[in-house]
Amino acid sequence: MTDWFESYIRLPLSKAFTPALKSIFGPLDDFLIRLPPWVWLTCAIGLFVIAGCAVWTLKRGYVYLGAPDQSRWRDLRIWSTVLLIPYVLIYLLLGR
Amino acid sequence: MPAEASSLASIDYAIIATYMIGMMVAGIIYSRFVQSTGDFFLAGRSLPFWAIGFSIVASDIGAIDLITGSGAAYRFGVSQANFDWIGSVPAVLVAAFVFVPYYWRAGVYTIPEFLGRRYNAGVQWIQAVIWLAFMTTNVAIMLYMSITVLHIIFGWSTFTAVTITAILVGLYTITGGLAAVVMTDVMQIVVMFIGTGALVALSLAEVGGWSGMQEIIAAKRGAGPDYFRLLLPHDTSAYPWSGVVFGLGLVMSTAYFSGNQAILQRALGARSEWDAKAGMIVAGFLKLCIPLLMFVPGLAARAILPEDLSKADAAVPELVKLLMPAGLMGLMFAAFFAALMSSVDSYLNSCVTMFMSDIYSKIYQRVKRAPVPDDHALRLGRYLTAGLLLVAAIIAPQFARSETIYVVLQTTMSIFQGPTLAILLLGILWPRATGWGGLFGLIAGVLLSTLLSLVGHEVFPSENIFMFVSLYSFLFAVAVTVIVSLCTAPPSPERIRGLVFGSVLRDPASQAVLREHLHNS
Repeated sequence: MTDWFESYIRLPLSKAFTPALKSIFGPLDDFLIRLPPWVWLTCAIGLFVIAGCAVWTLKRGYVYLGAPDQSRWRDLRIWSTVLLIPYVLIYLLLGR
Repeated sequence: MPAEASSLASIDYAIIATYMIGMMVAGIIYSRFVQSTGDFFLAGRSLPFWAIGFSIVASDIGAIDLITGSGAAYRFGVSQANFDWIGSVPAVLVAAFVFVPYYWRAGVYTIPEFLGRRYNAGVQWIQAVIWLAFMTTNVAIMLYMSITVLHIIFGWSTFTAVTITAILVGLYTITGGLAAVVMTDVMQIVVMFIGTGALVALSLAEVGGWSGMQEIIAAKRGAGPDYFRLLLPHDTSAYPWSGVVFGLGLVMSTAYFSGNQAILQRALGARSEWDAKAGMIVAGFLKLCIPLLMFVPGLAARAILPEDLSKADAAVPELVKLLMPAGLMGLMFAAFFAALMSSVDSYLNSCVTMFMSDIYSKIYQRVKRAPVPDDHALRLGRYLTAGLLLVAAIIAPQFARSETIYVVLQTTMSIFQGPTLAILLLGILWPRATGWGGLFGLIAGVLLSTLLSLVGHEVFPSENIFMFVSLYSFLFAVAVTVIVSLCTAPPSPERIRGLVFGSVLRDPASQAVLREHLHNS
């Protein structure tokens, strides 16, 4: 079964598509390999920061919708910010 | 778990027995509250946020993850933790604030049902069939894991081990439905944290803390600095930063937390939209601890065990045998069972929900031209849970001979993740997305990810290509969905009312409903 799959499915597909795929992804890979570690870290931390900022663009009414009361502790934007802080610190510490 | 029999003391057996009986009793208590299909499949929409959060993580972390996660940490180092850190947190926020509110408001039971309403029946069927196949096999795999562990602890035969586990999980899942599953999940995750937490504490004490462990690994094993880094070069054989940030952090994790039925069903059973959102964020807090519980023992095994293991997955079982004293050994096995049972019950319940909602009810309506009566659906749901458990129990021992089926299904799921996220995201954020656009986007994305999965090893520099497969198939599916949607007639406003982000924010009628909800609350 494995040999049959390799001979009749995977190898013909590889022959037909690998050169084209390499020409698409090859330059991108070359670019990504050359990027220095501070760029990796910025991208990772950026994900958390963007998520944190995006949460604060949500309207208060949307965040509280369905909550039994309007207490400050039920503001999920605060929860989200508190959640993101340790993740940012971990990546700052272990990401480099 | 270790291949040889473990020597357990009486106290260990007592802890394991107490845990199992406790779970069964707690689960059966919840069965008294099940009166309708809404109670059985969505816990009567009564779940509080804290239970949702605990249950999401309990369902997510299975016994397999405890073993293979630690094994991967032993092999690749700290970068394994990305799967629970960057692979969770931006995603739970996206799920909480973008996807979950719309699923919850739409009053759907399953994610394919939402896709069916937003796009068409074709998209719903494709999603339902793939998820059903994946979840059924997953239940069987988990039962297979229990065979291995019960054989080690009690020396039970395959038949006895599968039967006992199936009865234990089946009793409360069949009678108590989602409420029983979620509430037992809460207790199971506490046991899991205590058991694995004890192993982490003992491991760190043995190696002289985090810095001591780093020094020993560097000196004894010659591990380079990359072993202790989360982000690795693009051409690494392990997990390259580019795949981790863009493939895992943006696509795979979002697809998992916004499209996995077993994860989202808890949020759909929330008592309010706020609880559904808050539950996802609570899961994010708990996920912070998961890598510590999984990768610290994996790294400690690298420092403590005298020789390099040929099978990395044996790292933690070996460490348990070496470090755990009587009493704690029983707790560790209870933790393993907690991880096992919390995932089996969740997948079982979600699988039946999906079959009833996306397949059976559609066929019933087409044949009888009437909706499925509630008592009929509840009875059938229970029979199906028992039947599915039976099928999984029969299949389970087969995995001792071959793991190929599991590998094929895991690959199939990774093939679907990127394209599924593409149509979910466009379905909610872009009112112009059409049924044809969604169907073609899904099919085209799956074709590309299949191709990349087959030939990607010759294209990408990394050994683990699945993160790139998800990313590129997602982007391709977005492009195809947009192009085909623009070439076909837009959906009517009535069809997408309440299902699309823009329609709710701009439509005065929808806004009035939101204001009324807010006022009432």
